[in-house]
Amino acid sequence: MTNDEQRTLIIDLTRHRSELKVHTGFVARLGGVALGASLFHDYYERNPIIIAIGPLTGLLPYCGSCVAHYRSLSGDYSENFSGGWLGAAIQYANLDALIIYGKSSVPVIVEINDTGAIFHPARDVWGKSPLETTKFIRENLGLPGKSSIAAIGLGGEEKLPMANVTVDCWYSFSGGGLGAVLGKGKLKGFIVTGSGERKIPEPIEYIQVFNELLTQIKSESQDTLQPGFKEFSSLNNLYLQKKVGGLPTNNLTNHMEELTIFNERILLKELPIKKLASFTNVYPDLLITKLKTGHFLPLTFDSIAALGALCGISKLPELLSLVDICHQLGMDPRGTGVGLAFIAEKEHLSLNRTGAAEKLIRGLIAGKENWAKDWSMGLSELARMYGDSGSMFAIGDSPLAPIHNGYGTILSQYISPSNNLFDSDGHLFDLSLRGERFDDFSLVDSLIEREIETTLLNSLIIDYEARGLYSDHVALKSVLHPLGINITTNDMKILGHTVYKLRHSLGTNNKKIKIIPERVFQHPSSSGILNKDRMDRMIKYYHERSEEN
Amino acid sequence: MSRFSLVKCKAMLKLEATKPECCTGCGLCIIYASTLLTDAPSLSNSPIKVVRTLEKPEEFSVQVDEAKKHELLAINEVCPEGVFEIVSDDNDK
Repeated sequence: MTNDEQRTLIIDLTRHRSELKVHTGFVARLGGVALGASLFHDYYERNPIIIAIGPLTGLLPYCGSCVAHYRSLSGDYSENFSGGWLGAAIQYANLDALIIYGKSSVPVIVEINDTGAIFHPARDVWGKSPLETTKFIRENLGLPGKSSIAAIGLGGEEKLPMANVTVDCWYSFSGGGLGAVLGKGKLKGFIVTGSGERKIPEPIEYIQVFNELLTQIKSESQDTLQPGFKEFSSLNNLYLQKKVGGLPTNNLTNHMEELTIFNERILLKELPIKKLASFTNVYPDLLITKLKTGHFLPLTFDSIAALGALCGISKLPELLSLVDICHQLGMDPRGTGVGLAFIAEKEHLSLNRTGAAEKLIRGLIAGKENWAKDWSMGLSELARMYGDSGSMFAIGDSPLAPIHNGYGTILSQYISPSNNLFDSDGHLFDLSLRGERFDDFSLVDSLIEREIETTLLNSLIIDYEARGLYSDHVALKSVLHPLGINITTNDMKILGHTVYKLRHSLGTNNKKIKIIPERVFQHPSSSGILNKDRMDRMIKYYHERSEEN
Repeated sequence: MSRFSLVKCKAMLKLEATKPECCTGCGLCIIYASTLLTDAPSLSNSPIKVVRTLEKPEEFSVQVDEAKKHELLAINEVCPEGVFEIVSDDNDK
């Protein structure tokens, strides 16, 4: 395998200094999650944010994302992906990863290119929304058509646990509270400009591979993409989950049956929709809609399912208003929805009432009342305040994805440090069973094998929508060859396993005990009622397997 | 048809971004075009520029380098959204 050297840019927020540094190492060679986890491990004491790309990022179809590795403010190791152009901008800035650490004394915006970073004061945009901040940065820094911008909103500035980082206005590092980590470092946003080019050792072969992949993706006969994704983006999961009865409603006290407005076809018919694609994504991966106020906002599965169904909001205007507020404040729909649904249940509130949810969010931002202070410290603190951790739809401070499909769904979220639901195939395992019996240990074995495979694909940064396209190791070899990366299938297996172990050790470093909430066992999943003893047995077996060399 | 007339016929066709409103910002045209002309994918050296507009960040402007527009006909097949068209170049007639 060649490509031994990874170019990293160290950004020290405390000293307002940057340094280009070459990183080497067997694990890091693969890029993406492998590089990110490896750098996070090396810089662990500095509590860094690592943003890494893979060797294919910005070069081949469906290889456009980047991954962030960091420790949330509650101490959990997290991995978080974002689409948009950020991955491509890093690639064409001739960088493989950004390493950000420290805390600035004043709010800053960091301008990044292939020579280093420049620190600019952010006083003009501190307190502004991610969109206003993005506009400000675009007007003043970077180069049009070559740059990507990340920004936080008030949620991040206030260090709220559900704060996200908005990328290029509509995409985000969502879930895991990365926005709060940036806010703590007083980093309001950053822009990466990719003015360079990528040397391709075998350009003719590269174009051939590009064409073949494109033909395969466009071919209707090939099932290379997630079913339904082409038409509905992530909203296709609404159809799937409604069909099987896996969408939790009202803080998982029942299942979504009456909320008929949340239908992907109705939403697309009733709302003005603009489709967007992340860099190199052949088909759109994000739908945005325009409100009467003139605001655009992203419509994702999480925003509809967590802020809508889980909160019991059945009116479309109320839902869109809530999604808009979260977008303007830079807050993750899933984390916000889980907290709101819990409070609504405990306080016997109907979030369907006009302005009820907004009032709670404004109260959270104001941070004066006790519940707001507790929620701002994390979902587990909020649950503790009410003396009822079992009703919070979360594992510790990590909100669960707004689906309830069975053991695989819960276990895969328990196992994976990634905040991306679709990174793990646990829910697909549940759906494929269709109520059939299965062996508990086989499920755990299968999830671990899939996690190792996913680790490999996430190291190369291949988007989940097109996993079918790159899942064959032999095909992967031929894709990597024109880029000058020669890797054996055996190397892939070893690296996948090694990085999995590294991620697992980072994930368990804080020794926190993860507890699955009782609510999950009290209300039927789409595969029926889950048994707590059975789940405990699977978790025990998972830990035993993970300790194996 | 003589070889000369074939070349002339090809030269009369050009790539034009006729439906920029359909652009989703996938950027496939950018990297494909730069590789075709320079053997190196790039945002900077590409003859096609896709730029997010300042006032409407949900929209993109798509510009094809006038000097290279005759060499980029293949891009028409790369774009998944039909942003481009191969049209006759009136200036060459």
